[in-house]
Amino acid sequence: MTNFPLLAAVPAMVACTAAAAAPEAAAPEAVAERHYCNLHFFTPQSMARHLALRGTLVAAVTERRELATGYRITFPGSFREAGEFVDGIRGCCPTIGYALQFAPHDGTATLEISGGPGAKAFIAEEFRQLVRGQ
Amino acid sequence: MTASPIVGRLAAGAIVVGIAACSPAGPLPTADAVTWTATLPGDPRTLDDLLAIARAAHQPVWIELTAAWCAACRIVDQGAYRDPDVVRAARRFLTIRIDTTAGDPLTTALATRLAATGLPTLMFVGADGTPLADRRVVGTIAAPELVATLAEVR
Repeated sequence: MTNFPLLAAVPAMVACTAAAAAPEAAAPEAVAERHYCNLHFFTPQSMARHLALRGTLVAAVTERRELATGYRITFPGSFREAGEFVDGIRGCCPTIGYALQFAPHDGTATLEISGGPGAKAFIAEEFRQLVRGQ
Repeated sequence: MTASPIVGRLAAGAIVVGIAACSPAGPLPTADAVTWTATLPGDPRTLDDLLAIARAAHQPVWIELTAAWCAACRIVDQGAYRDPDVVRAARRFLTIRIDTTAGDPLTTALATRLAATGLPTLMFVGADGTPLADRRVVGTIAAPELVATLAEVR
C-alpha cells in the first residue's frame, strides 16, 4: 500500500496522451495511437441498457461498408435511440471518431466509425457485430 | 529532417536487437503467451502479499488491469502478449493480472488505488520495490515497444 500513492499520482491520461504519434514519426509511416477502453464510463445498469441498444441496432443494420480508416453502417432513420447509442460508445471508446447522419425526410441513417493509425483494427474488434456482422 | 524517421527506425531496431542480445541465456520459453503469476480476484494472495514476495526476491513486478469486455485488451492479448520476445522478456517479472470484468468491490478498489481509468493499464514496480510511474502504459501497445518497456524496468 505504501508504494502506490506515487503510482496513483500520475494520471493515466498523461501516459495515453504521451503515446500519441509525434509529428516526425507520423510521416512517412504513421505510428498507431494507443486505443483503450474507459474503465469507469458504464455502470452495470447503463451497460445493460447499452448492450440492449447495440443488439437492436445490430439487427437493424441494412448495409455495412469498410472504409480506409474505419467502417460505415446504414440503418433505418426510425432508430430513435441512435444518439443515445453513440453517446455510449464515445464515452467508452474515446480514442476514435463517430459521425452520425440522418437523411432528409425520415430517410436512412448512417454511422461512420473511424480514426487514425491503428484505429481500424480496434474498431473491428470492439464493434465486430455492428460493422462486420460477426 | 527527411532522414530522421529512418534513423529513428534503425535506432529502434538496434535497441530491440540489443535487448535480445542482453536477454538472460536459457531455454526458449515454452509458453506461447505471457503467463500470469497471479490473477486477482481468484488468487488467495492479496496485491500487497504479491508485492512483498517480489520485493523480498528482488524481482520486478508487472501489473496489468484488464477486462473481458475490453476490445483493446483483447488486441494486446492476441498480439503483443503472444510475441516470443515479449514472452521471453516477461519471464523475469512477477506478473499480476487484475481482471475487472465483474466490477466487484475488490477489483474496483484496486483500480481506484492504482488510479486506473483506461484498459488495458500496464504498470511496473522495480526490483527494489519502487513504483515506476513513468513506465505506465494505457491502451494498445505493439510488441517491440512493450519489449523495450520491459527492458527498462529494473
